[in-house]
Amino acid sequence: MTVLPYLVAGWLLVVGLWGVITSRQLVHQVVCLTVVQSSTYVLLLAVGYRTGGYAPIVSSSVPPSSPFVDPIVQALALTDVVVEATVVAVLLALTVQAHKRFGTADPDRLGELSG
Amino acid sequence: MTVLHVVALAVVAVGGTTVVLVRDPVRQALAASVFGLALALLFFAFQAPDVAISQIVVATVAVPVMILLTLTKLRRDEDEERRR
Amino acid sequence: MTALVALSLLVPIVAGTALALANVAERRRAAAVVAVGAALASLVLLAVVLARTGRGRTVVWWGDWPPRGRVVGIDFAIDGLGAGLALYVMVLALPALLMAGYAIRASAQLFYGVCLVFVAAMVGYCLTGDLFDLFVFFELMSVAAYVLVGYEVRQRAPLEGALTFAITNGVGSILLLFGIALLYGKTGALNLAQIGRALHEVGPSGLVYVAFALVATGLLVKAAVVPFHFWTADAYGVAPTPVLILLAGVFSELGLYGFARVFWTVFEPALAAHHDAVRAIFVVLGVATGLLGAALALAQHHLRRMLAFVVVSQIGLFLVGIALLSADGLAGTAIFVVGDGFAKAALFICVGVVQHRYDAIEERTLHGRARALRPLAVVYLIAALTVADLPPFGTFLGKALVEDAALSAPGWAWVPAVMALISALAAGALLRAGLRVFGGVGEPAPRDERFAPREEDAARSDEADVAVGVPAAIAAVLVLAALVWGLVPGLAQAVTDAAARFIDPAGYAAAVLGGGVGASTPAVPAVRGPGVTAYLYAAATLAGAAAVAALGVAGRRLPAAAARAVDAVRALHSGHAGDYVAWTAGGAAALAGLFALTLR
Repeated sequence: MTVLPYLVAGWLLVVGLWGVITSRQLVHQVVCLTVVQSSTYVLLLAVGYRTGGYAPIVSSSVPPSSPFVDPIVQALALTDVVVEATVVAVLLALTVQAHKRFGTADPDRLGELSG
Repeated sequence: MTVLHVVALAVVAVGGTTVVLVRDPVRQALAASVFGLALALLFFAFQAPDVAISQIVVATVAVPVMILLTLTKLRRDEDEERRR
Repeated sequence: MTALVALSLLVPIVAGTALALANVAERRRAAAVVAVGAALASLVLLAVVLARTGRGRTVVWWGDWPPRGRVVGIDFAIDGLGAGLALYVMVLALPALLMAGYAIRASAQLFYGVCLVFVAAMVGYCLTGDLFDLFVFFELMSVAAYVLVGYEVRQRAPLEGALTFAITNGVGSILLLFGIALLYGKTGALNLAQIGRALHEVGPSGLVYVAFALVATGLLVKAAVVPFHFWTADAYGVAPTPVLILLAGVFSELGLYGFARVFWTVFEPALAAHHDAVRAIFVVLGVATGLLGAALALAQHHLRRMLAFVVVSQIGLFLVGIALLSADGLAGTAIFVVGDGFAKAALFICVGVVQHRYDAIEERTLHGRARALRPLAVVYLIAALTVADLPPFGTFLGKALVEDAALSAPGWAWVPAVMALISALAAGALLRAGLRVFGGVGEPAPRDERFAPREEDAARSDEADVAVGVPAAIAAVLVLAALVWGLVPGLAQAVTDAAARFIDPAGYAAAVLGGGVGASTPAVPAVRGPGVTAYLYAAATLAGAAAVAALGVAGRRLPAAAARAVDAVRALHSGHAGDYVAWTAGGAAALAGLFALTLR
């Protein structure tokens, strides 16, 4: 296994964070957060991958002694995908409410809290 | 590590960057959808079909639809505001 | 035992889900009864679990998958501190749920439901012995907290606070998971004890430092340690009072608990030779957090934001106690957390009542208006003095232990004095605000240009007809609990016992995985009661707090240079989630760099 998947995961983390930091539109900011989240999926699956491994599904077409990729990380990634989707849903709901009440999705123009 | 892996990883890296760089939310939702699909393909390449399938459902369909619905709602609110 | 542990989690989760799904808008009282009943049931179950765990450890393997050679299953590894903290969560859930009957207007049954899921997640987080499980409970309690903070969606500020809170903490969670994935890649394990053993074998490396930095950042964002604290004032400034009881009393502290748990099970075996460096990094971080929080609390005249910064300052003190890396330091912190949590919950209730009754939250607007609320003023005053270490409250007992731990650690003898200073400044801010609001003493607070200047515009003369009796009684009971907590006989020794087991990774691994050489019982330091030095520090703290409050109400300003510095720091709290995320990312990178430089 080369380092390429780790680099890609790290890149997604950094570029997503940069997006969250610089974004000035709430919906845009939330979507950038999904990019940050996806870095963890890539990292998890890369960690568990074995060259030439089969998907961890036992069936008659795969010889029982053949190598499998790690099923645990897949369970983790699956949990992660669902959990992060929940977070995104909550954030978008809050954004809709914020916009509905105050007519802006620009964090600069919300600005009731500071100091 | 095969060519497939390298290509899928490259597409995902470029896709993620694109999603961040596209500042218009509607286009960004589309970019996010394509990015989700690229991730799903990468997961297939990593021999994780179940994660890939749930990724397709969540990241290429559910989340972009949620984003578009959010944006539609924001637009409608703005229109109503203007008419008032 | 398995059934007991499972039920203590399942009862609130099932009851909470049922309440959230049931559409019984008119049945507020029934919903309250169900919610309080579920919390009480869970409380009793957890008390039994704690009693049966006693001086040992209870390990529960879910689905009956005990380790056979390698770990496949997921476990709850329960020890005295974990079970005690879970019990404390449930104790605080009761006043929170009772207050909800007064403070929450819209869809109360949904609120009760989310609240129960919130506390159940916190209980699971305290008991689990699996790193990914820890993350899932962490995320569940975070999402519940985002919803609860923004519960009053009709107002502008709560929404903003909830958004900032959710984005900042969401990034923290992702960093935590990234660190967990790195650890799994390195060790192939998710069980805390197993990762610890595996890291012990491979020893520290660059990857371990990065993973440690990411995991620590994720957990310290929750704890609100500098520079990850920015979300606190925004979230605490806007959350409904019942939520604040849980947020201020235990939520932030759980971040520190997770940090201590992960450090002592996962990283300590690999970093055993580097205690000095770890201690230095985190004691300094704790002192910085304490000083910054106290200074900002003094600079605030918005009561809730002031309280939020008091919470930050106390978090700094807790981090100091944990970072001393000794049994008595940790035990003192545990006692301190509970005593202080009761006091802060009471303070937030007092401020909530005043805010609802007079429809204002600025010290200046409220000046002298709450004179009629005598009983509430008394409760507020005692709670503020509890924060200032008044003997024999629980805070005093806990802090005395931490001070002893610091004095016996070579090179850290200056820490108790700084801790006293931090407490004096924070409690001074509380007293100053209390004297002005409840007593109308001295000059009105200066007009705060930076925050909420529009509040003064509206003329508000009519008082809302808000019931004071029951909230004041709940706050009084909480203050009483802080007092009783400090008087429990044998508490210090019992908690020190538990703490000694907590900081014994070999024993933990032996209990969870079996085998190993660490099956021996750890050495437990004998604890003396608070000595003369403890009373001296407490007296200094109280005097300092009184002096700070007196100078404050006399209208004494800071020297211009200091005022400019404080204002510059305040300007950093811009209310932008993006800025806060930048600090978080920068802090994580700085931590990783520090570890790489010092832990080799």
